[in-house]
Amino acid sequence: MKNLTLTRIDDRLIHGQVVAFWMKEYSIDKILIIDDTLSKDMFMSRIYKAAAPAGVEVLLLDREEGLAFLKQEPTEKEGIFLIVKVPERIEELVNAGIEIPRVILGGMGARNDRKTFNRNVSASKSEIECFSRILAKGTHIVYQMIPSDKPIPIQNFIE
Amino acid sequence: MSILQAVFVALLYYLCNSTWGLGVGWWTLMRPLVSGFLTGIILGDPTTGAVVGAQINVLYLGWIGAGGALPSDIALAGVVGTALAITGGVDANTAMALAVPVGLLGSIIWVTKMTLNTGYVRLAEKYAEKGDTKNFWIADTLLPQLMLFLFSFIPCFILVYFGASHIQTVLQFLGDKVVNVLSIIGGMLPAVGIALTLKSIFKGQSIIFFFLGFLLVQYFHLNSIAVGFLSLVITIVYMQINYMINPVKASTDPALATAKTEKKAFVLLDKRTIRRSWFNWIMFNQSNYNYERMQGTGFCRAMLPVINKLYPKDPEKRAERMKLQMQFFNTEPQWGACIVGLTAAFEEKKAQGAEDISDEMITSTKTGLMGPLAGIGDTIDGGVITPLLLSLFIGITGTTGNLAGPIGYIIVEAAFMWSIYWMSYKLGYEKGSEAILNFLESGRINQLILGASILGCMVLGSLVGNFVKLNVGINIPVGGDQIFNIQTQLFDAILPGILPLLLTLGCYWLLKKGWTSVQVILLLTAVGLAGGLLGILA
Repeated sequence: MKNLTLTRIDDRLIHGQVVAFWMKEYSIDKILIIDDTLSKDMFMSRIYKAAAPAGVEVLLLDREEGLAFLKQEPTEKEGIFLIVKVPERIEELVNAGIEIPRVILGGMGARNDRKTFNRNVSASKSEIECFSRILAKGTHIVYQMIPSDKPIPIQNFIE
Repeated sequence: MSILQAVFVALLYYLCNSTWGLGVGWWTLMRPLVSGFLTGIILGDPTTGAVVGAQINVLYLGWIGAGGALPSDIALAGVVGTALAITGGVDANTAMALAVPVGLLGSIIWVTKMTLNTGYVRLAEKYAEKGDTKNFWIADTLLPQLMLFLFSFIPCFILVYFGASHIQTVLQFLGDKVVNVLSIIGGMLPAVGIALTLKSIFKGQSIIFFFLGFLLVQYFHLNSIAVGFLSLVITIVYMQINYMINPVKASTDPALATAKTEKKAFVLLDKRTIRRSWFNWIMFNQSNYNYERMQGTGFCRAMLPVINKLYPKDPEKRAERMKLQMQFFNTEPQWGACIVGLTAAFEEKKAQGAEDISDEMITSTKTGLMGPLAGIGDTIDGGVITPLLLSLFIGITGTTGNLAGPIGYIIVEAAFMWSIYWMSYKLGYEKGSEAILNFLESGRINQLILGASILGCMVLGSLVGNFVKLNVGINIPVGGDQIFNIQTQLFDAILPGILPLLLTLGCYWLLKKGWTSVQVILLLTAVGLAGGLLGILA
């Protein structure tokens, strides 16, 4: 099974906080995005690949391919940054036996079915339930925009 | 300080954070090099203002406020630090030590604003509901800016007016010894700023050029302008050699080319509408920046001229378009301007009856592009170009206060940002999404980042010797009347500036190890305090 250097929930995927802060803090050479819609969108795939910093490979996979990739043997010195848009993707991976010790909650934009959760995170009822189920599996979820922010366990917002 | 002066200084602080900076306030007014200089003009001493502002700015060289995350209010640090330095008659280093806590305190204003601004989104929704493009600005600009004005003006006025009248008394009460310690601490702090910038620019091959910049100043005593030009030549040569070894290949694979839609610009929209949309974007993209929608209402504001032009007599249609265009949006305003242009083109085509442009397609393109362009924009503008230009012009300002520093910085920085705003918007509107993609894939961006990183590293290295101050004050008696001064007879004799260099590299190492900048600042404060009181540091 692959080792994940960082795991983040962020619906803007690869953006300023990710590129200008997180990627500087950790040595990352692969960004793995698991998203069924995006993986089929040729235009957006090319945008994400072109927008990644030099020397960083972007893998845009659907759920099945993503899981298959994470189940492969790890290679030495591989730094993988998993980014997904919604907590459900994390839950599926955890349920499939992928080890994710810690998830960083970055941003989830406001939508009609979502309520503001904390600052730049909005979540629907079912998403909050999903957070709880992930927590119950022993995976930590912390709210943290950039590395210098203090990580706040999301239990603080749920309970 | 007169009440009137304090009013102007507080007004300046509001302007730094406000929406009225013609799209470049964030990049110019907000930087202590500029705000310190302007504070100096208000207080009748622009030279001291520039010197103090430059010193404070070294700490915030690598400061990026990405995605609404803002660790320190650099505008407040610059304005208040400079005002206290001028009225209190303290040196730039002491002003620096006073400015840092003020900057940390100021970030509360930012978080409060981002939180409360969400309330104006509700009002903006009401205007959108009615298709009211005329009064939308009340929710997007007037009210949030009025609130920001109160939140900025009042605390800054109090800090500056009462701080200035008491600073002398406080300094006298503290005594020379404590003020001296403050000065030692303030002299060390720029090392943190340089180290932070190194962490964001330093990538593999550019690292060595930092030392070259340092040596050029320490051994050859070149001035900043000479360092700048020499660095430019060396960078170009390096890039040419690099290009010979690894020619840049566009990653475009023709087999992957997405279906091209024939797109014509300026069918229903005219140049005037497009210019107004562009202007609204650069001016108001963050006038109601908030945690819920980020630049959502700002984006809608930029679309208003387009929506008005396309549906002048149809309030229901306007309402539909406004509601769509004020959804969550957040990008880097300069590089992300192409998304605004692209959306204007989508709206134009949609009004012509293009069936392939659905609302879902507009939203998914907007939200798809905003992240990647923010990543590129933050890396280039905040991470490379601004630290590079700041380093260069802080060097020119120097410790003597050459006013060409702040003035030159404003001109070059603003010109760069406006060019990106305009070229990006035009690319999006006239050429469309395929052109944006081709530009991203051309490899030119990585070339720009590499070149600017190398240049930035060299210029940054040249700042160490002049802006980081660390001197050992130990004298060893060596028989008779003779003493051996460790600083002048050991360090200065071998490599002048070695201690500032080591201090900077030490901070860099700690940051790399995961220390936060605040922790490193606290450590330096403790070291300065102990070293200063014991007389080890001078």
